[in-house]
Amino acid sequence: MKRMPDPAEHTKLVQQLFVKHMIPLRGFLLGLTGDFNRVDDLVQETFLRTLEKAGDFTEGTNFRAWVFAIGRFTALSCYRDLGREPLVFDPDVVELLAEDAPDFSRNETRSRHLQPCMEKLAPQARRAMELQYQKGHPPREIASIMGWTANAVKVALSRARAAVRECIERRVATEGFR
Amino acid sequence: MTDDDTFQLLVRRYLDGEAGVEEIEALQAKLRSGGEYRDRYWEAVEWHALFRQWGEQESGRQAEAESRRQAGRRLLFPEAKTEWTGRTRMKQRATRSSFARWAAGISVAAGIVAVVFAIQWFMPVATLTQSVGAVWESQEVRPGERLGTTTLRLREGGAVIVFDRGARVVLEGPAEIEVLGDNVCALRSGKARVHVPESAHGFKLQTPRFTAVDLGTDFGCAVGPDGVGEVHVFNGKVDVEAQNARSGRVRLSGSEAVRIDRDSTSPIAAVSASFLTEDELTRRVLLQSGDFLGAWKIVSKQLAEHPATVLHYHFQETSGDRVPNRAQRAPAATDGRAIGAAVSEGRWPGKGARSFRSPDARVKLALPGEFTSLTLLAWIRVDDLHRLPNSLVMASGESAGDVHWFIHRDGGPLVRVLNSEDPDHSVDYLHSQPMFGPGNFGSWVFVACVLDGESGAATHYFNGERIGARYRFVRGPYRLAAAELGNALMRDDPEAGNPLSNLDGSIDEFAVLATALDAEEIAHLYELGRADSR
Repeated sequence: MKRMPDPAEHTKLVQQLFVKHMIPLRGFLLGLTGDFNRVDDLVQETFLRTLEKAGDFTEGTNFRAWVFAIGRFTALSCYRDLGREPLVFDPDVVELLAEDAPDFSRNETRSRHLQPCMEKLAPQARRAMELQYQKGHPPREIASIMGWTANAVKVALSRARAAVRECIERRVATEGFR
Repeated sequence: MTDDDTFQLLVRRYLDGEAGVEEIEALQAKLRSGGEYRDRYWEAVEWHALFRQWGEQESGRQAEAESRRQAGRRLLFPEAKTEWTGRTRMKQRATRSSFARWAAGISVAAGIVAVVFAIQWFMPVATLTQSVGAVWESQEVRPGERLGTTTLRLREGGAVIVFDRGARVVLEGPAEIEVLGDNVCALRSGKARVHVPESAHGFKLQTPRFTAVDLGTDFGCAVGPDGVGEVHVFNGKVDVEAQNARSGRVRLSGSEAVRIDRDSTSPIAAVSASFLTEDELTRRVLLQSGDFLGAWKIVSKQLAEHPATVLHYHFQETSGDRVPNRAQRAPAATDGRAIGAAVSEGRWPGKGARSFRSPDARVKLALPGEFTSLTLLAWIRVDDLHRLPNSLVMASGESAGDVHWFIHRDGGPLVRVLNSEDPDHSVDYLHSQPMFGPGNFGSWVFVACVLDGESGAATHYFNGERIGARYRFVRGPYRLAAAELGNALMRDDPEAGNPLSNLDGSIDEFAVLATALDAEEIAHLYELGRADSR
């Protein structure tokens, strides 16, 4: 016999689920905003909204889809709130993108192979990747930090991304074969 | 530049934060124009997000210790003006006060502190790699999902959790397990089988009544409802520290096991079969997805690695006349040679076989040595029966101990062995009931013949069931020194004059084991390989 969920416990469950699905949510919001920093703000705002609406979530249903919907609503509400910068894309494009978004489960598989594949990069390529993805610098800033031309940086990053992507895809494809 | 190149460049410039107003308009126009552009955009975003995830985890790895000390202690009050240090360290930009603004409007429960802290530092330490028939207690955990410190409750089914340091845990429901770190977990109830590679030596498994520390490599652990538990070590060493007063630490080696309850720790028998293996779980996953060939590969590998297997042909070769012996303990020069036996299809799409329908079709093989006991296993498809022996495997000539295994024209399997004790070279044979006929021509079946030299018994099996036996059978030793698969060598002897002794059908797997398998093992092999696998 299923007992009625205690509200405090239910909220705790929703919190735990949020944490569990946070990385895919960040990917989703990244697609809508394009900016690493905006994403962090949106994630936190989505979190608070999720807690407010915790009662709307039914245990056992698709949490990810539900929280993505809240994320999308949060992103679009930028256009209504005064004092908040709207997103770069127009609202209609954001809506279209939200509808066609993947659920980021592919990344969960790929992330297993991230470390070993990143470690294979040559030191300079890896440094450029660190500067972009860890420190959040755009290519022209990376160029001045590393003393390269902006073009050289873009080529290096493009090649590094392609190499890591190929490494991960290959490992994913051969997973399970000993 | 192609249209795709242009589009990818726009996406790249947008994600790099370098796109100008016109470029953004152009990008949006493309995104509005069709779903295929949006799909490609999302693909780029997925990788962008993945690299960002790596970047943050790098920062997390570097800054974790210090920030944990600082950020965790601070309470979040609605009117707080202090910036959240963990976040600013990562981004090195001014953080907005928006978070504090929202917090002001909502009553903040104490629990939020831990969760908000977790948001920034959610560090996955393990991955759920597979599951089959899994029913989870509250929310579903999907294969591929990364796990942080969390409790998983599996109501039924099986799942594999791989910890980041390398330890692999096969969980069998109903079970409750808590992931505590990248090399430590707590099994609150249920059964788990653990494989620990060298990188993960020291893997710790806590239970209500004891803690097991693996020193490499394989063990199983079961925890009952009242906390009573068992540890079975299959390979390597495990230290078990019980909480009960009597016992201190016990070190177990391979094939040792203990049962731990409130008062004592007692030795029991180690039973590997009680603990679901990853191979078996993988096999079930493959079966469930209809990948019969993939599931079979796992079983085939196990048969090839069986300590008693001396010959194993799996017929997956698609060309040439060589039939390699896949047995791990294959004696030298035991590959077969196919003559006139065409490559054909086996039990499932992708499964290879050899057809022996051509009258002179055969695979010549030579298995040196004499065997106290022998088990012959074959997956065959009979398309017709002719009046001469429908050969399965036939040793050459008439030396003492030579084994001939075939299907009699009446459809009954027959094995004959020359009796070495009799000076007149009489023959012992077991002719079992007719099993082959028009009713199953064209169907794949599993036939087995067990010659037990120690008890002096010969037994025939058909699809896993015993169909006939003979006790006081010649005890061997048995030989297959020069033999043929699917045909009979008698043909070369002008005196014998048996021209068409081939198997009018196909064989897709054949194995010889230097031991006498029992009925349960044969039945199990049938279940694992049947064509209508479920």
